[in-house]
Amino acid sequence: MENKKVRNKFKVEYLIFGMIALVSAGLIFATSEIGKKKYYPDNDERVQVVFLGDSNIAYDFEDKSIPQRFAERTGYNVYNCAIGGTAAAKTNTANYFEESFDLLCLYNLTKIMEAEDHQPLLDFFNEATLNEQQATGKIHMLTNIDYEEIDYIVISYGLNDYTTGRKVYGKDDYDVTSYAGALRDSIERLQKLCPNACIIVSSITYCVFYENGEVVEDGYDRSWGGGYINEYRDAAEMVASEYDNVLFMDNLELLGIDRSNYEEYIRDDLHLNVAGQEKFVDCLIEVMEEYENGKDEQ
Amino acid sequence: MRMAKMNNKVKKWFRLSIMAICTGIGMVQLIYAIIWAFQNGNNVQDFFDSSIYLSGALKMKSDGWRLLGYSCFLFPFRMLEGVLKENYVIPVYCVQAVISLLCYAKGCKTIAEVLLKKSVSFKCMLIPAGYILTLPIVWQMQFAVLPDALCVALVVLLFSLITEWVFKNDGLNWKKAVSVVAVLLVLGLVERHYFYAALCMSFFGMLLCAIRFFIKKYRTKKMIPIIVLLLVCLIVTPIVTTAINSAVPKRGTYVSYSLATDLWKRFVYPNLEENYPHYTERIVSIIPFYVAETCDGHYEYYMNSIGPMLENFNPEEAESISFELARIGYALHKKDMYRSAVKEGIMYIFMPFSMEKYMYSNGDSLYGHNIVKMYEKSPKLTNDYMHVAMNGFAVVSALGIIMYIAEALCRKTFTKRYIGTLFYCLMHIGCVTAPVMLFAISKFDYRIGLFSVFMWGAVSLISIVIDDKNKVEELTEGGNCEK
Repeated sequence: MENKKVRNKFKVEYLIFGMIALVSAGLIFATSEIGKKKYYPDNDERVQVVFLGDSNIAYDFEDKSIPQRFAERTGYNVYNCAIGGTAAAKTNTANYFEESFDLLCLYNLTKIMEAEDHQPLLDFFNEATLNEQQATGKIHMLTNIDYEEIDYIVISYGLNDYTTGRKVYGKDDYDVTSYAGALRDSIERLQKLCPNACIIVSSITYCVFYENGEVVEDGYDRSWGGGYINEYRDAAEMVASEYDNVLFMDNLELLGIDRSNYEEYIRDDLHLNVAGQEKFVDCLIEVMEEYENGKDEQ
Repeated sequence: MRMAKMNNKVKKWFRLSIMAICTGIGMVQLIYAIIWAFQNGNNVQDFFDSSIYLSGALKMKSDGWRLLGYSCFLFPFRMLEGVLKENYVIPVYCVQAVISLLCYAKGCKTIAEVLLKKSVSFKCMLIPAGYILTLPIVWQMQFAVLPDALCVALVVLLFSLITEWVFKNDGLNWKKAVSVVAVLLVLGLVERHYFYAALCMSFFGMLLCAIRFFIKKYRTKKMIPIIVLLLVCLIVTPIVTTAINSAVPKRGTYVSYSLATDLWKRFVYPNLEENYPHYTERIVSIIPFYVAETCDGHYEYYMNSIGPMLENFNPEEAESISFELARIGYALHKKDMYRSAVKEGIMYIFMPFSMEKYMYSNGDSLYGHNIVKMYEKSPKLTNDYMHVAMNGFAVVSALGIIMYIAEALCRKTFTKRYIGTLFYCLMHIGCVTAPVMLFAISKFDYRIGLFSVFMWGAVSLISIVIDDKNKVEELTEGGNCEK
């Protein structure tokens, strides 16, 4: 009798124990839903965006880069393949450091995207002694992208083309040593590679120049041999207008940065600060929304 | 009498309920961990370091930064590559996981037996060890070709051995002595930062032994050989490991390792561009402004870019220039550095809750933290696993705190021991975290807090699961565990 009582007591204890365990398991399982949309949702369901660009896109300023801020705001899956110090146009140089940057200009980057065997390039960067960790990481990233699934490609170059004096226009339309030629060539190759992607050509951003701690000129006043910033902007707009499914984002106009307010948006002479990055993201989202709305209306 | 019986019943049901909650959480986590392991078991996560260690295993050369010890561990497995193809990493991961499980179980047993004076068996301690092991941030490391999993396991083992020496009064046992020396040597040949952590831990252990020796109440001659051994280890193991590491053949592009280069991550990187105007002419002539401007703050950048620049300039001056840069960085940003160090320290100490904060506030970008490597193969599953297990860990830790305080308060005679244990564990978290943190990039990196995760998991589960001797006997009914 006594034994039976004890056995029953144990049974009840086990039963309650099991029930509590099950309920807690269910509750903790349900927490997987919290934040799911925002953090690492199923890749297949998300809009896929590739960013190609220079330091303004590549780097974290105050902890976050433009692509990171963009991903947080939209929940899209973002590949930040931008590399600091790079330009759109190609150049020939004997300087090794510059050469390694030149290998990663937009023109060469799209070639890397097309290539099937990336190993020689990875080997080159692994053996070299320069800016390579960044480059190797980006090349690895580029090799892992399913290009057919890409919805948007944001191309944001111009500042390094401008400051290094690369020409705006070249000998012919496809002169890849010029900004416009490199853009044109890359857009055509990207369209073949990513047939479903909408390409957004983001223009050069505003910049100023200091002398003895004071701003003496801005990009509208000074040319480094290739042209003024408005010329780079115009070239990008012209190239973008030549193709279907290519949008243009006029950063000189949309960001609204000028001599009177540059301190609010630029952290040095070229790079956007947090406010500038946020503004850039606002404009990019706006451009994308307009495009999406246009698609819906059609 | 009736009141006391009632109280006991309430206490018993309270503990049983908490144990049931932990069981539920643990079961879900275990299922996720097993599925994740099946999906990722033959994947080499895309860590830059992994390729260096793997090629190091074939060439038996180090790059001067990543030591050869871990490549030696990988060597026999790489020999299996011809037979197993890409699956050769499966045995690597299995061995790492088993070593971690055993070391964690040993660590849990020491905490329970020596610090909290609870009677437990090694087999029983495999359960909390298994729980800690299958936490996603710990589990990820077992499935990565990185030395972190082994190093954390060895640090836990060292913690266990030293704790037994300090508090058990059973003198110097040759097996333990050999184990301590071996752990220190292995860590010194595998990963420098964990070796520094182990040295700090040994120094702390030696200090405690010395204090115990000088307090009359605890004085015992058995402490003397332990103090001597630890002192010898502190002097000899750095010399031996440095000699071996320097003798290892180097390959490719590498930078000579020095403490100064480690300081870069905290004192130079974060403000390289900002500090540029304050650098001396010698520095400015070596490092062009555009390099400072484009520095991405990762240590590979130093190793591949700035390091060679300094060494090419003059190998003998490279270290002094590094110190100079660090000094300038420190002088200009003293306040910020202290503030960020304190903030980081607090984050690593309270790892279960910091991970929650990290998980819910970090941006979603593939160009981000190391943890994204975990999402490579099965993003949706990893996402769920991460959320479920880390939320569960926060709950278990919170319950552990409640039980720990309740137990300390209910048995007033034990309060001192409980406070002492807490202090001891915190000191050890500090011993391990501080050296690793000092040499790491000044951003939250969950890998630095893995020892803290172990401590939280172990102490919480032990407080929740093991009540007293009778409870242990009750729990071990059925003969599954040794008594």
